[in-house]
Amino acid sequence: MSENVRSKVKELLGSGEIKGFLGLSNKYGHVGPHLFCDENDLDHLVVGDWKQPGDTRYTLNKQLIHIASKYPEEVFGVLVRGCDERGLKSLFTWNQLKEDKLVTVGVACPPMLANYCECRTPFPDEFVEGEKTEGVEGLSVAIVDNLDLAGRFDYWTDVFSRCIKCYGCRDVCPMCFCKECALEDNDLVGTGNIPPEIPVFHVTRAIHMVGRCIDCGLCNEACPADIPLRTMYKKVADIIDDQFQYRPGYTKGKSPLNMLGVGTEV
Amino acid sequence: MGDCHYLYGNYATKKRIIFLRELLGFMGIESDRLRSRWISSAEGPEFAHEVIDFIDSLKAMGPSPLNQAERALRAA
Repeated sequence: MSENVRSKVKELLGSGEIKGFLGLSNKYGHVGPHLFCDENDLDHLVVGDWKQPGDTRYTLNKQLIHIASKYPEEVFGVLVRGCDERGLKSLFTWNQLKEDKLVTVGVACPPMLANYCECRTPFPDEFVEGEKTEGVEGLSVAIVDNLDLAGRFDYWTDVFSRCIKCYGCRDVCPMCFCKECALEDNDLVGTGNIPPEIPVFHVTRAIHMVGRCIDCGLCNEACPADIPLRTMYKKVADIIDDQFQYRPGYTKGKSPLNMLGVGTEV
Repeated sequence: MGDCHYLYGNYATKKRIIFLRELLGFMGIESDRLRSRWISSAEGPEFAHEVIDFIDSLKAMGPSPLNQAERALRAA
């Protein structure tokens, strides 16, 4: 199911509206990011469905930041799902990408993927492929919330003790664009031990994700230790929404934690 | 609020403390183990009172679960 995307990209490249299209390609049985620049070379363009829908999603936005910074004057196209589009909106807010230099080509996720992700909006504003699926209100956060205090502590201690500190969650995260990372600072987070200090390592990352995390779940998928990171970050987003009525990727404007004092008293 | 030496510093802190207390609860750590109060450097007795009060509430809660988990990990 990538015909519509392919013809849309062909049109955009052919008309010269975009310089290149950052999407996914399936070559030799492997799906990976690819910058398509030739309208006649789109045969291997895919939307990231390999064995199951969306099982080869990729952090295209992160690649896009690098590409756009090298070619600041050019307009690029990018493949987006609902999560990717939320990511773009958040990255515009953080001045990491320019909205007028981007054209999105959207894909709506099927129910199976939406359920798996517990995604609130499994579709971008505009899409050329797929059908609109209702948002899913997940249970994963509620399951942990319903444990008692000691139960929650044991749950997180258990999953965090599996961490091999590969930094995969950070490296794949489209919202992790800092040049310097607190997680590599020995004074802030003790380095050199596995598992990293529990729960300081993960909570530090969680705090840095406040007002940023748009719930794409790539951290969870990248994690070799299968730590339910997405559950934690869903809670992070819920807390900020409950306390400050702000949800990254949905609410316009800057995160409350990025605004100074007056007028933001809570 | 707003009297901070670092201008908006205590607004920034307040927002982070609100968030972190919630997250600590989700992580299974009593949120009352984290407390923030605004006390001027001229209010010595107030400071002492807050610290004593905090210590009392910590004692009532007992040792931190983190402490015990750390010990168990080392023993394993």
